[in-house]
Amino acid sequence: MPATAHVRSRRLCFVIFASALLIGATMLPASAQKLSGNIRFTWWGSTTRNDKTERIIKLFEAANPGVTVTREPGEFNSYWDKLTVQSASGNQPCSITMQSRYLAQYADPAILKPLDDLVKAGTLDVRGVAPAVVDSGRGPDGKLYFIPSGVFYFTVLMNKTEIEKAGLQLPDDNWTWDDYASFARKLAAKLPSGTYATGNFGEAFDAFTNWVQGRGEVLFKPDGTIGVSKATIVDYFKYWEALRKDGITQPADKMAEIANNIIDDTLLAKGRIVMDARPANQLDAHQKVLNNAMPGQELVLHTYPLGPKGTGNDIGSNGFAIGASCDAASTRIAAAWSNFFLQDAQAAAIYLSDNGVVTVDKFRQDQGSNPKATPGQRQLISLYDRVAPTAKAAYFRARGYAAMQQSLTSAYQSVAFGRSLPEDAADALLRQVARQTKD
Amino acid sequence: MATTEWREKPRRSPNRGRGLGEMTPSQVFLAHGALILLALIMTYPVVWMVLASFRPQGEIFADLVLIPTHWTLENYVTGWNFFGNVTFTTFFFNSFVICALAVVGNVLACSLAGYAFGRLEFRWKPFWFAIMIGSLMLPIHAQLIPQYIAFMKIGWVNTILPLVVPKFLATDAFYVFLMVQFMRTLPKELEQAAALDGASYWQRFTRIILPLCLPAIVTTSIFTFINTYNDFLGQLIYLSGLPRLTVPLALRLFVDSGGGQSSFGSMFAMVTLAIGPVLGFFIAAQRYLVQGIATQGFK
Amino acid sequence: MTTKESHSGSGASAVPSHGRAGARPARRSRLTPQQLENRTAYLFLLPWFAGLALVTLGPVLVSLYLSFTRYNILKPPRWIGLENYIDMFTDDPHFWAAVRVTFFYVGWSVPLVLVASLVIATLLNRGLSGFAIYRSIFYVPSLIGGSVAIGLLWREVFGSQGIFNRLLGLFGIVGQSWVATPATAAWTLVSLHVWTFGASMVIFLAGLRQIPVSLYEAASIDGASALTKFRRITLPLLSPVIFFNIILLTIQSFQSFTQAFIVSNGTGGPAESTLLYTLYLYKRAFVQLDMGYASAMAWVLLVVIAAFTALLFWSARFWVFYGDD
Repeated sequence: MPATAHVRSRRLCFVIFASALLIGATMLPASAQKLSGNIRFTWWGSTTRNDKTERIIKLFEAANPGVTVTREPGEFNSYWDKLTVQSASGNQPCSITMQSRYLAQYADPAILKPLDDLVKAGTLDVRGVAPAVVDSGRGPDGKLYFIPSGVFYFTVLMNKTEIEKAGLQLPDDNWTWDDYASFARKLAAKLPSGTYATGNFGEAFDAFTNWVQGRGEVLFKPDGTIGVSKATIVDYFKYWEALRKDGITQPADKMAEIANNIIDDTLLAKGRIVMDARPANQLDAHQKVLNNAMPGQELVLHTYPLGPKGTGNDIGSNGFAIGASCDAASTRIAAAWSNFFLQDAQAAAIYLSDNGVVTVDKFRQDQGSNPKATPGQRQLISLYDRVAPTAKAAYFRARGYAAMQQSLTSAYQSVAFGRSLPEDAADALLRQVARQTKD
Repeated sequence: MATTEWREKPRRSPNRGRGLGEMTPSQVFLAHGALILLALIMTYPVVWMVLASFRPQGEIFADLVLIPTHWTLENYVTGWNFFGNVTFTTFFFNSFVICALAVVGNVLACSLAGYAFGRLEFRWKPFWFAIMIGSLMLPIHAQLIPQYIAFMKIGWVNTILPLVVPKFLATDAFYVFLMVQFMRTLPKELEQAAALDGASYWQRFTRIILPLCLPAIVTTSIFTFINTYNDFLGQLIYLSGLPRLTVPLALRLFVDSGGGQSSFGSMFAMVTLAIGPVLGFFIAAQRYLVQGIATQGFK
Repeated sequence: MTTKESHSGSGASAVPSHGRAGARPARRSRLTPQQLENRTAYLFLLPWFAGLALVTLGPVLVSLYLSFTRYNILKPPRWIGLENYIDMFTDDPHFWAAVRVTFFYVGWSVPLVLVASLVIATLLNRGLSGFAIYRSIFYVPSLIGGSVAIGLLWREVFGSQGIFNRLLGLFGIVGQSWVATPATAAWTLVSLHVWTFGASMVIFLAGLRQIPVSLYEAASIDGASALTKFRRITLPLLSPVIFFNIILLTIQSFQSFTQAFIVSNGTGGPAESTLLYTLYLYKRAFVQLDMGYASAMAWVLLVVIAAFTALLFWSARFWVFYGDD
């Protein structure tokens, strides 16, 4: 009968069409599926970074209605203890900001989810990130535990204006630590009293790392034992003692008093120190304060001096980890969040490499060549391109970073205040690190 | 016990002239001089800070002059909003909640225990009493870590529960002791009469003894408030994350993540506000405080 | 809270109550009055017992157990016997630094506070006008002295930009940062403690008032000077209060934490000059998450405080004068 045949064929069309739709729908990438639920996201930072993060979260929530992100900002110092305590009771958040220097303590599937499978499946999107950079998120067991979103490195911040006023020129990239010392001395001779040529790096951990690596040593060997030798530490202390005693650096009590994480207080930002050891992404913050204190002076980034075995540049990364206690649905949200932060152009434009040079190459190039970029941003990225190829990421075993950093401060302070000799302080440093990292 | 004596605010010491003897006018002059000098030295830092909080940021360290030339409230505004979305409103609120709960807990629990130790006779009483007194001398640090671990396992870390719940278990032996001392001084006849009428212990406690203990309750409340308000270590280990911070924790963050010296004005302003409640309590109820301290000394 | 009412529990005779108009008629109870009182007392003490077991004594015992383990939270405690204690006494310079700093702090604070509060109390007790005002001014610092707020103030007052240096500047002296120089940092803490002498002073004032005036009058008749009266009458009769204050101050000083933390920003620096024992304990426990070792430290503290207290009590028989004479 012609009528029923017609209906049947229409029905068939419909079925074929519907099946096609269904099959097509299941082949859509995960990010296009409707996500809903809540995840907790924790990070550290100043009020500026908190604001930026807040704006990006709002964008993400707008793009994914049905998803909410519980904000859990904190301050850096207590961040790691809090994470440890939370992890101990299985209470860690789903999306965790992680850092390469602290990773070893948490690189355990019981604490953080290994992410290799998610990357392979495309759930986690790492397009545009160099494989070597991705690898910085791997733990000692080789598993990937976080997706790096920002790379940080360390520099000497210099007051170019003061240097040129003293009749000197900015040093080149191939200078050595001896060059540094003589440069500082020449500078000091021309500076007014109360202004110091260089900060005292004796307790500056980043400078110490650079010194150690420049001599071909490592802070921690891959097996977790201490790699730095006593002689290296002694030489480091003696180097800075020589400069301090001659007044090339600020006095010991000023060094101990000023908390270097408060930029407004630092002598560099007040124009009282010409060269100081600072993370590379802090130039703009220092410049802002300096503009008030000493208008017209310009800060520039500079690489550390070379050691006898070449460059000692250290490099590290921050990124997104996923908590082990995160269930499947939340994991998808956490992955989507990580992808959004990493790959969304608007997000990158807001964040502007606040927590390290952005790892997606395209954004980095854009930010570097953006005419509206601040001097700090521009130098951050151009220097990165010069530093990254030869930098060596210092390996830190569990609790190693905190142990080394505290022991260095303690040891050098006792030298600088005349309470112990460099040799004894070096011994004390090594013993303290060993004690604090005992398993 | 000299309860009534303390109700007046003596202008001169009640022992005036009768102790070590009258002083000659020149001695009086010297004494006042020394005392005034000491008072000035002791109060100068606080006074300086309070006044400095009303000066524009740039002028705070400019000179030693106490009285500001330019008055401004900008430090208070900046300080209050220092941490962005989370303001000192939240911090003060958090502090007050914890303090209020601690006061309720202490008053309830310590008066209960105080009644038992102070008005009842029971087996092993001397033994338990000695334990209570002994617990006064126990350093808190021997309890701190297991408490923390236990609270961590039941998920109470990062809540106010570890700070508040123990108060409901009479763990502040000092206030138990205060209550005991006070309740002991009330005559036995009060309760005996009620007992004859058939009143239960509970009724005697709530209707007779407790109302008479008002001074001790007020003292307990005030001291609990002040000590809880200032309890830094407890808050430090159990609270983190801006929205949960209390006033002491927030103040400390000024130093850690603030703008350094250029935020001293705001810090001073907030410090001034922070000591406000304590000073307020003192002014309103100093006789209770003074009496409370003094009654400790007599076992 | 009907459970706390003294109804007899098991097998009470069912005497009906006649509403809640007033006191209930006495129930015939199977318990003797004393047994009833016992039970009531224990019921009233229920919260305290719970607190004792869970919050006060229980943790102390657990702490003892933990002191023989290595425990950093992420893994279960691991028994290591006396290793924590051995390390503490033989291989930990920070421990000895903390002990030195703490003894310095206690050794200076307690006598200074004691002397200051006694002298001022005696002076105030001599009948000067303005007694109440002076008492208030000297007492208030002890209310706020333990707070973070005052700790921050103190840190600034003695910092390199602080008003203390400005004051010195008036005399032409260039000051350093007193809180950031190891030689002076601990003194700033002591000064802060001494600033809070007011609480002890109030206790002394109350004690002074208890001394019978007749004794002084009798001594005056004998022609004794003020100083003699002080030595022969005031001090001996005040000795229980002095004793009490010493104990209180000592125990408090050993446990001092907040100000050392604030002044050194949690580091105990510079060069461990402000590393009070409790601050070091905090760092080991809550920064390094070395719970076993910190528990051992807590027990050592407990033993030391107990020893000091026992020593003081023993010495009391030689100089504390109870009773009348």
